[in-house]
Amino acid sequence: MKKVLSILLCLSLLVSVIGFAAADELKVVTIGLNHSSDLDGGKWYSSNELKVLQEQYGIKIEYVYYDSEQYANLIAGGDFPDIMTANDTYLQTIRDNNWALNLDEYQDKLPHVFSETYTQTNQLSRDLLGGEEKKLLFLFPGIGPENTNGNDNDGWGIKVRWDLYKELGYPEINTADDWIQVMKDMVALYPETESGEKVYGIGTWNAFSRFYQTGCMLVEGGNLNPWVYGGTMYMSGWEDTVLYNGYTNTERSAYWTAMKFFNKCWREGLFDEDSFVMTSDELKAKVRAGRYVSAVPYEGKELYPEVSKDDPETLMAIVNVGAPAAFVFANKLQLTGNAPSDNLWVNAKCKDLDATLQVLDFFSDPDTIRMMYNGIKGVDWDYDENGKPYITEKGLKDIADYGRSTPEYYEATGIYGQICEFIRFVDTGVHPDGYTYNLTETFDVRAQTLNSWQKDYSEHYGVSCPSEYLVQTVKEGKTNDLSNDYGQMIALAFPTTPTDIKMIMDECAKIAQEAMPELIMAKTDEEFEAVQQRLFEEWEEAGESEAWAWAEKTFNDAKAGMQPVFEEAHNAFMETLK
Amino acid sequence: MTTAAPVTIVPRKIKKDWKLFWIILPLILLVFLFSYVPLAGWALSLVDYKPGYPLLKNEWIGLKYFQMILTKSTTKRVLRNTIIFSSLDLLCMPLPMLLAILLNEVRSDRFRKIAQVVTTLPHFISWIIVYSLAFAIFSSEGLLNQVLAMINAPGQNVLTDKNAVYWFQTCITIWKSLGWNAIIYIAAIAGIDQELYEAARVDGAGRLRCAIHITLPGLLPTFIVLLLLRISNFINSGIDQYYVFQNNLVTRNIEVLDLYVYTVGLKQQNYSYAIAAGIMKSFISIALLFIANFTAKKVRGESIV
Repeated sequence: MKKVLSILLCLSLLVSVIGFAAADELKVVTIGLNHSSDLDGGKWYSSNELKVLQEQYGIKIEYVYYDSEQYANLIAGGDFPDIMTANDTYLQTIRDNNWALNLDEYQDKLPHVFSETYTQTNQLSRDLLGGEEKKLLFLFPGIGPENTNGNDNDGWGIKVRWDLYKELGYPEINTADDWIQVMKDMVALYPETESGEKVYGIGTWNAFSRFYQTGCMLVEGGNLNPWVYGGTMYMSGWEDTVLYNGYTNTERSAYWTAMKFFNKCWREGLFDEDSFVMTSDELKAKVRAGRYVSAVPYEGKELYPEVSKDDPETLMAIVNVGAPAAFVFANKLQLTGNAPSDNLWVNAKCKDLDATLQVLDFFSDPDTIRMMYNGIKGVDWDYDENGKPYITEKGLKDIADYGRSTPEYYEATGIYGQICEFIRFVDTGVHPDGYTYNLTETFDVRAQTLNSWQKDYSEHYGVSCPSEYLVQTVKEGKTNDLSNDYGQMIALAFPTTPTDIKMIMDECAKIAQEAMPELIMAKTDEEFEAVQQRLFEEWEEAGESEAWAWAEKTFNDAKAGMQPVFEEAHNAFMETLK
Repeated sequence: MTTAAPVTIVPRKIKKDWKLFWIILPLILLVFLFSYVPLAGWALSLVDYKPGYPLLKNEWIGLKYFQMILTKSTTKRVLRNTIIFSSLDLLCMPLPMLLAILLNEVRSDRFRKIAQVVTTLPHFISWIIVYSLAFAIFSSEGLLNQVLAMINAPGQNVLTDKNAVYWFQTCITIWKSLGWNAIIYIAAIAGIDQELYEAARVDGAGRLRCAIHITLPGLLPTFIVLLLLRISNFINSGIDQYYVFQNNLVTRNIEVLDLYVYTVGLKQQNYSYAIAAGIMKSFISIALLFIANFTAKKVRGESIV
């Protein structure tokens, strides 16, 4: 017995040594990502590109997430992973301390990064973020024309329960008041769930952004972009790129529009008061239970997958109905990526420079991007005899079986997953072969993978897929047009916000957030206005006018520099949409 | 607590008691490293600190943040909340002592042990779990409101009622800490000479009189020490409890100084401002400690410093 045990022990030791030895053969490159976004509990999926890196290049990627507090600690310590995303607060700090590698000095090792595909964005990066010496320190992910094919399950928009909307005869929603009336009618049809729980018109979780994002898309006179001075009420119009003061300008304010909207909902008994205390998970649980007939931006997707488990033909889904008052996220030209906090930089003191640059170049390779969106060539997609890429039967079946953009889909196919954080091009960016990177998001592929509500929706509107209808409303001028917006590009040109101004902005946002329950649950207009007046005084006392003066000047100065660059690219982009 | 003359350490005593000195040396080093060395970070309150830059490369602002703290209306609001919570906590300080006395009077060992375990167990539950339990019971669709609905009574949502914040949070604190805080009193009761009780019984004293005239005076020194420590921590309310229970509906009444410093310092990343607030808190706490200590010394002849 002892001999057997000894042999087993030796074998296990041998195996572990071999394992370690094998692991030692792999080069490790660490990637630090700035925010956790909506990703599935921080779980890492073993996506295809990671396997390719490991098998073909002998490189293993290790990811770490940093929230803003951890990122600040990292900055204070100065010890970084090999590749990092850049929090916009610290772009100048990174530059001043020479932490970021000047990629211009390694052009021979980065053929894809310095290919023609990235010439324009590289130059923008040098001009905006390269300091006086115009170095290429930061790379923009998420560039290109975003969502030119719209989105079947749009995070934005006026979203309602499709089955109830159908039962009501597809009433038109032209204004926020129309939306409230439709919610009322829906709740009258479906006042309780099967288990006897009350159904609300709308609810959200305790995140300030969800409230004002609803306001962003309901503002009369054109929707507002919340990502210019993120977290504050200084927002630019999507269509006119003019900065508005959402604190004091009640007509062009996401905040005041949202407060009035939710107040009306509350007075009608449609608003779930637990919205002020719920976490995101609690909201999702309520959505799955069918407790709402409508949803705020980015919420409501969980209903259909839950109900369709038992009834695959159900129409019980919360969907964007493309109402004239709605918001469709389509045709956004991202010259500098979606957000300054996603910009990539290489640690000048990374452990293995060659491996790190290899990874960076690998992720910039258009074929890698194609793989990240669609899977393995020859398995999940391929080229036909005319050189046009298409999704294979297996690829279509995977979408049908697992649903699009679900954890099950990522696990089964190795497609997308967490890498979306810094994928270099957006879905509908154009590969050098002339077709969009993401082949699964074209109208014809979507038409082949429709679920029950999408089929019904498409039949009603006479289109091949829901996104086609939504994009149509944009082209017909019925909803917003994002193609003129370059707010995030302007934001990239902002200098670091002075501490005094930042404190005022944070204070004002805090005041606005804390006052939401009083405003939303105001029983009368007089009560609402009394709170509004008090807020004006509190903001003034906090120094809001000083912050606004700085923000407006900074915005206009940056816009003046960006405008000619954007207009040139915009004109070319509009040609492609025709 | 002492009434004797302070002991001074001289080289001769160290040589004589060198073993004791070496035993305590690691602890002294620990306190020095983690309590005194970080005080060097107070220098950051005098500059506009930005992570990534050495101290001297940050802009000098002097006492600007100290002035700002004293004049901001937010500071007044969070101080008000802190004082209210701490005052309520002070008022409830005798409760663990009362529980200890009651437990001491319980004849059944089994019941006493069960009661002690039940009252002490909440101490080990994290505030996240406590919030989840509170949400399940007190939210608008929680157990309480379901019961109230069954008896046709109006619903209550204490989690979102700003007028209920002070008493509700105090009740939760008492529930969570009562048993744990009673332990030290139970230990103190165990240290009271049993002959005093026997003598009192011989003199005809009942259980109530024994409790009032023997147990209570026996616990007072312990109570005084804990009171002095609590007073010195008067403006240190902690953060965990208030962080999990805060929401937009109650934040104006629940935001205490520690939570405010966390929000400004870490979430908004204004480290210099938060350090300035922390420094002021420290000085106030030290002042309170010495005032309370002086008062205790004058009134009862007992002090801890």
